[in-house]
Amino acid sequence: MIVLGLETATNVCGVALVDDDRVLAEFSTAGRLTHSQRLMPLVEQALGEAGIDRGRLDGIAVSAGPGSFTGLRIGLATAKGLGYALDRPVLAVPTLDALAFNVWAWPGLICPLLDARKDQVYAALYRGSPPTGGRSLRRLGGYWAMDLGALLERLSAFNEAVLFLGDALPRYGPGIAERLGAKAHFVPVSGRFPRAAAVAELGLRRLAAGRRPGAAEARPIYVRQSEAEVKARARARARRAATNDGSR
Amino acid sequence: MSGRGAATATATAGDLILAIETSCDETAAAVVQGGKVIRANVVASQVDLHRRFGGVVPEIASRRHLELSIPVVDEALERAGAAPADLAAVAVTAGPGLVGALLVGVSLAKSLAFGWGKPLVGVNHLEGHIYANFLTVDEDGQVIGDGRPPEFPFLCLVVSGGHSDLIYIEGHGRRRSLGRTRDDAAGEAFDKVARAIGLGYPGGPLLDALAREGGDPLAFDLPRARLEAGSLDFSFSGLKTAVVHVLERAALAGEEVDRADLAASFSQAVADALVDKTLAAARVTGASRIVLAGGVAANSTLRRTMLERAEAGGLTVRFPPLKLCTDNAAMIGAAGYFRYAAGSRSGLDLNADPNLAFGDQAVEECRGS
Ligand SMILES: [Zn+2]
Repeated sequence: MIVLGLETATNVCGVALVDDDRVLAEFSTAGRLTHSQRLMPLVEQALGEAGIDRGRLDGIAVSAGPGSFTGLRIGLATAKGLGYALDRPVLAVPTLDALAFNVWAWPGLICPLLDARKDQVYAALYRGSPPTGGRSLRRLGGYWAMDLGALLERLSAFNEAVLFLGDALPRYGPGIAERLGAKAHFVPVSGRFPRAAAVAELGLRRLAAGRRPGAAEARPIYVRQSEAEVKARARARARRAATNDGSR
Repeated sequence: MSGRGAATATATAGDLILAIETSCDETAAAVVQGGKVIRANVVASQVDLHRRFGGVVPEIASRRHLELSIPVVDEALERAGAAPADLAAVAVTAGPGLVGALLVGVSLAKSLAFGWGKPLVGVNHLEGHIYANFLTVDEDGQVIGDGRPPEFPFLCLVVSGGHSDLIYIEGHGRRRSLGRTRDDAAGEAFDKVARAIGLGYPGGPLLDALAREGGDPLAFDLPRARLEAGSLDFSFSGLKTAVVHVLERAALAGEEVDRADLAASFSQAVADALVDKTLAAARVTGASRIVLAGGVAANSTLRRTMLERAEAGGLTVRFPPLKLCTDNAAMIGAAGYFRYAAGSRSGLDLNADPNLAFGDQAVEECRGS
């Protein structure tokens, strides 16, 4: 099987083609051009250089978030269009799953961290599989948007070594090292960014497991509501509270 | 698929455009044949979604566009009875508009075009509004208006929530900008005044409905903007401020303002300003044909005033039916067809441009590298 992977959740724009046991092409860029300008030309280039006709794709995998809202929508809309036009499944792969997959063999906890702005990170926690274990990555809990203090609070409950990666490290790495000391480990720069090949490979595994979601079904994982909804909900809560007080 | 008019049956194959429009709060897809026959026109409005916020929330609009995009495209192709292989090209609004919203449509159009192996044509949203006038056969096979596209040259007044532009159009892709708003767009002024009067969202249509409830357009003496002599530009912020003052003075005096009268007076002031400048532009250019376009072209006071005064001056006036004035993809399909026919193609690096310019330009404007 051949799967095209798209990664646009962060400032990295990535495109990859993988089959069952090879990466046929992979491009990653974090340059000046927007994902919107970059993504489709890279798809065309990847297919061209790998010598794969687009009709031979078995599925489209896309990094589904959490991440930049706009980046996610560029990736998802592109994946949906390709999936619809080619009549192929569109596999929405959680961005943090794909990121943790970069280091799946780590024998302990893995914590991918993306900068979520507003002094927060997007994070999730995984237990890696040592090469002899033969199992795949296991996620412990959900996808979170929280500040570093709250995250470290959760991690400290485990009292074991944690491997960190992701684009939030330049900003939050020093704080993590200070709190966790020798228990904190950091993936080197070249291995810590989201890769389209990981997205494609995880998508391919889902296809192999018989999953066939259509183009209309693929959904982004925003984790966060939009600002307007957050505010509207807060207003509604305040109104309800006021009404309840009045009726007492 | 029976019941379509003769116009559909005789149009040649190979000139079908799938068009996508997501510049604001309507997720729309259409199939248009030969730039004039609407084969399908699907508009999924988000008005209900944004009403509780009192206006369009860009992030919420963008999320909704992504959810609706494939179902809307699918329905358009289904209703048109068209297979992707039948399409000549995919057209999409590249701007102006909300950037996050535009990006959903642009990303989708690019990947559909690539997936199907079809050319891609980026379209300016304003150009789409103008080309709504070229649509001559409706989805159900009914002839629209006199069934003929406008004759060149003509003078076009494009009025919407984002624009108030006077454009002289000599031919496809050949146009000259004559005037534009210096501050608020006409539709923006309608929305702001609607809010001040206490109407909901969307303000423009609600204000128009209120004005038609027997409102007296002469009840309030509102100012007409005075720009320097010879200018064909518009200005609506002073007018909006005058309405706010009327409301504030009444509130201070404890008086009730007749809202229908105020709505009618305001609508008339806007219409007068738009018609004055349009007729002045007609004199300058010698144009004898006036074409209205954009959401505000649906305003009843503007339509009536323009018809009365232009026809008294021996000019012809035309405007699209109401549902083609507001945002839709059929108009993008019409504009896209004529761009396509003129050889305009966009690259896979086509980007959404929230401020995409529309002035004295030729067809190349949206062309990618
Ligand atoms: Zn519009």
